[in-house]
Amino acid sequence: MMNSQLNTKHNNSAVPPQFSLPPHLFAKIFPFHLVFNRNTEVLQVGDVLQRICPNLSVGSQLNQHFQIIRPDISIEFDRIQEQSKSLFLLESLDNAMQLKGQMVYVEQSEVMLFLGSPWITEVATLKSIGLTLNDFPVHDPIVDFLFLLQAQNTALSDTKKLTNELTKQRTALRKANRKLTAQYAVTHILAEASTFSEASVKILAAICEALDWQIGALWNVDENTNLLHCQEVWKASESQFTSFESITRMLTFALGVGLPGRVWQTGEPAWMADMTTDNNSLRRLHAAEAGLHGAFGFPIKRGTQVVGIIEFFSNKTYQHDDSLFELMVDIGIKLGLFAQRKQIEEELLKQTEISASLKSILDSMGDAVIVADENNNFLVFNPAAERVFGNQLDSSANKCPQQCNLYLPDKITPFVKNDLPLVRSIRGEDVNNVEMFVHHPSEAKSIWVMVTGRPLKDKDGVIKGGVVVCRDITERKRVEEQLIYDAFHDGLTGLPNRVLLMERLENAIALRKQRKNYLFAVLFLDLDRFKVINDSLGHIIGDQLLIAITRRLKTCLRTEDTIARLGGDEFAILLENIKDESYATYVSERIEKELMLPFNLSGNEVFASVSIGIAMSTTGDEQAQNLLRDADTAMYHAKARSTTLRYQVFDTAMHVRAVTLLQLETDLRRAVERDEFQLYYQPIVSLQTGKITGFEALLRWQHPLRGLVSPVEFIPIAEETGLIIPIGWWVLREACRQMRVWHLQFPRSPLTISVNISGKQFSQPNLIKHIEQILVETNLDPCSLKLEITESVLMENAKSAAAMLVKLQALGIRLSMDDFGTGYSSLSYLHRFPIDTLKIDRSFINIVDIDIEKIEIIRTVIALAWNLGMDVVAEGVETQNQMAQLKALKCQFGQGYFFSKPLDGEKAQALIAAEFTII
Amino acid sequence: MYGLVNKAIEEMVCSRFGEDTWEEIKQKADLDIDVFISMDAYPDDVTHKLVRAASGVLGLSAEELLTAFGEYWVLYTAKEGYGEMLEMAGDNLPEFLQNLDNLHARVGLSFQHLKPPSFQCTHRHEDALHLHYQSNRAGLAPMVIGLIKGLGERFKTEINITQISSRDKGAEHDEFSIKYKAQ
Repeated sequence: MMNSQLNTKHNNSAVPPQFSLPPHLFAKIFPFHLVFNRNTEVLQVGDVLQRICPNLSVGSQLNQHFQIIRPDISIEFDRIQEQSKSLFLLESLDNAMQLKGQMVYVEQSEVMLFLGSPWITEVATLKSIGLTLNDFPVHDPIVDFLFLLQAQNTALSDTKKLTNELTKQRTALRKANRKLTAQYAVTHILAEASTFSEASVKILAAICEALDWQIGALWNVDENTNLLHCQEVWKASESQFTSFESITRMLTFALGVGLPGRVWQTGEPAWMADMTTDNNSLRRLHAAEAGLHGAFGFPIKRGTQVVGIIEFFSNKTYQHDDSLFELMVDIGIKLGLFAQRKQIEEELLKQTEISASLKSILDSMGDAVIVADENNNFLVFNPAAERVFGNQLDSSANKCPQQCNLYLPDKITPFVKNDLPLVRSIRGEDVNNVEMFVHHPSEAKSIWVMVTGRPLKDKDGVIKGGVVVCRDITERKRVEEQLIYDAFHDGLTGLPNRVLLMERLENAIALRKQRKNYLFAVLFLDLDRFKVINDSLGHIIGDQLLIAITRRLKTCLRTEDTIARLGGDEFAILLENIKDESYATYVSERIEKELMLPFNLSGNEVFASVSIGIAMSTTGDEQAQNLLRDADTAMYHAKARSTTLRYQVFDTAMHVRAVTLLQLETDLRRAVERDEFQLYYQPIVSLQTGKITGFEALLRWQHPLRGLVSPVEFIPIAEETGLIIPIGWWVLREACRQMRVWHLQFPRSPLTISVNISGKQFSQPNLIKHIEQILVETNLDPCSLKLEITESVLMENAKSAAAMLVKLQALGIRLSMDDFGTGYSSLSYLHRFPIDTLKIDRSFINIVDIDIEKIEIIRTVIALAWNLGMDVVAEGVETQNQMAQLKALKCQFGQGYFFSKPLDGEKAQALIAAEFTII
Repeated sequence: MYGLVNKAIEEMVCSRFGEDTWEEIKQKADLDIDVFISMDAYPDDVTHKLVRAASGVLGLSAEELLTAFGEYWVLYTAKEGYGEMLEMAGDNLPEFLQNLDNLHARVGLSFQHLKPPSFQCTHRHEDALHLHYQSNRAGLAPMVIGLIKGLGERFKTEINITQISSRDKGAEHDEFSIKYKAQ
């Protein structure tokens, strides 16, 4: 279509060489060219342009396919021509492809030639237009431009990547720096802080500042409550986080509860990206108010044990960061170790202080303390130990027994090394209260120690040695020995006491059982009249006498014999291994003889005698107590005997009698309870009229087995046992009752009833009150009651007796002095006693008819009575002659078998009723 | 070598053996370079050191490593923004090989210090040709084999390549016999 004669205008002066570019070649070389005429009708299109803009057909209007972007003109031929020097940028209305190029006006053809190529800034755009780089001619710089651009883009991309990488690294570095700062701060704080509390506060602040956290809190595990308690809070702003701090300090967390609780439970760090959106968070609202979001907590661990939690809060949401996580775990471990180290330091300090105190205590202790290691080497040997055992520091526990002479409590058996308390404790045994006798050969004084020992173990229970504490118990042992001695000896005489005697007696019995021909004898000694000596010369002389007697007794015995003081004036002697009974009697006689010599005690010459009872081992009794009892029984027999022979060998009959007496006592007690007594009444008769004037109430005991028991038999026992008191009251009450009955029955006979009052009864403080009460009870006129009191009872304590008698008389009671003549009456007292009646003892009466001397005594007594205004009753009148003699002596009243034997109540009543007349 | 090559080696090692291995290789190569810039020219020695170190660390021969790299290089450059250029060089293996020098010439405009190799195709048949490889760098023939394999993958073409002459054995240049069959 178009010859390429483009340069003809410039070559018109000479005949230029002809050049002709064939259209197809033109289209290939300029694949994006465009030719249009003055009417802007398209005349020619490059190959590639035609391919990608298929509608751009020849003859079509250019403005239907393109618009001019640069310069800013419309598609008008002239306008384009004017701007032909400009860079033209056309844009396809079909596919938005832009073509950059130049407009060339071809004057000859009056056409405009557009030479250009697509304006591509990115290789990627090619595809969208439907182009490939192959569509561009090789000469077209656009391809190279695109290559260059791509290379530059690649370089730019590298740069971007590098920048991003650098930014990332810088961010990481910044983070790392912060962590390092935090780590450094923590390390620095832990190195300098003196307490965990101080360290924790500083660490909270340091970490918060380094890592841009706004709040830090330290929680402690309270092992008592099993809760987490807030110990410290650090905050970046004083005012903004006050409310959050308050709630944090107020809260406690249980295991597994809340962020701290979870950390505690798992032992691992935990976090909340945004606690304000976590409905389970207790502090959600406070956090929102304070503008806090992210939360992170990690444990403070001691080994595997969580001892505390550190918690941080941020005004940003928490983005998980592995390295931060590791850092916090590391800090938690460091804090835990620090806490542990501080605890160990404190413990060490305490231990050092304790050690110093312990040394001071050990030095000042009175008890010996010895500590040895497992190889028996002494670690502690305090001054007290040196005092007890000597200086053993250069020695060892193994050598101790040989050097110290340690003995068992028997003082003679040396301790075997393996039994030593220290060795035992090193062996792992607990040793309790082992007594040890320590004898120092170099020192005269030996000592007793009581040892307690324990093994020393490490925390794993492995034995590392032993410790013993030895208390000096020498004084205690001395006291114990003294106590033991005292327990077996009499304090006054130093003789063995009853206990020791019994022990030796039992030994002798045991020996007797083994050896049938082995004989021994028990002698029971009782001083005669010792009470009189004591009462008259005083107890000091009495004691001196006992000591002196002891001395003399010892001279009568062999060294192997035992002499014991049983108490008071009682001694016992055990003669062992004797040939026969004769040796016992020989010893008794020798004692009698020895004691016959007077004792000179503090200037007083004192005579003593003893009664001795002898019990031989041949009696066959195997009880020590029984043998001593038998000797005692025999002694009583000896004492009761008035002969000069003051010893008695026990025979079985004595025991039988003693047993009988004991049985009698038992029966007597029962008799009181079972009302086995009854009263008999013996009339008292007027010798002038022969009339009964009254009765004496006499006690009879109707024993259920033995029948009637004589008062002579049981009254002494009743006196001895005190049973006489209740019996006496019974007698008085019964007699009064009976007499009242008789008064009612026989109102015309004003009989009296005489009742004996025993010495014990008479000394009762409530005597008057009791008698008054009985009189009221029985309604008996006091004038009808005569109380008979023996002369000896009244004279024993005449002063108080006189006062008592006055009181009784004041009641209207009449009083008789019984058994008059048997004792020693003081006439002055007799005068003072308000006695109504003297009863002359039967010992005067029964020979009154034959003994002139007695007659004169009776006469004198009657005359005395007359003069003192007293009646006289003669007791024991048994014959007519006696009665006649008494009557002749003007004795007013008589009593005895001559008139009547004692009668029971019924018979006595019959006697009254019959108005029985004796004479 | 331009940084692009070293970066390709780095990415190949990292993607197949991990970053730690790459760090080990870098350490072994004793290079004080953290990041390679694609458009910067680095001494050939850097690349040689990397290859030697990688060979030692990965337990591969230099030939095996270069072959693997050549294969990876085709994929890498396409991925790194040069895909269009590669496309421009041809739609199939023989066309591409034919245009390789042209491609390098254009690339050379951007990479001013580029010392591109030369590839000549002779004995062209429908399914075979001879490729003559000439370079002022020695010992990279195994990389060429890898490149051909990579192109085979790119154009989904079965490749059978045999080196029929070698500079290492005294030939003037390396020559390969390539048989191919589009899938």
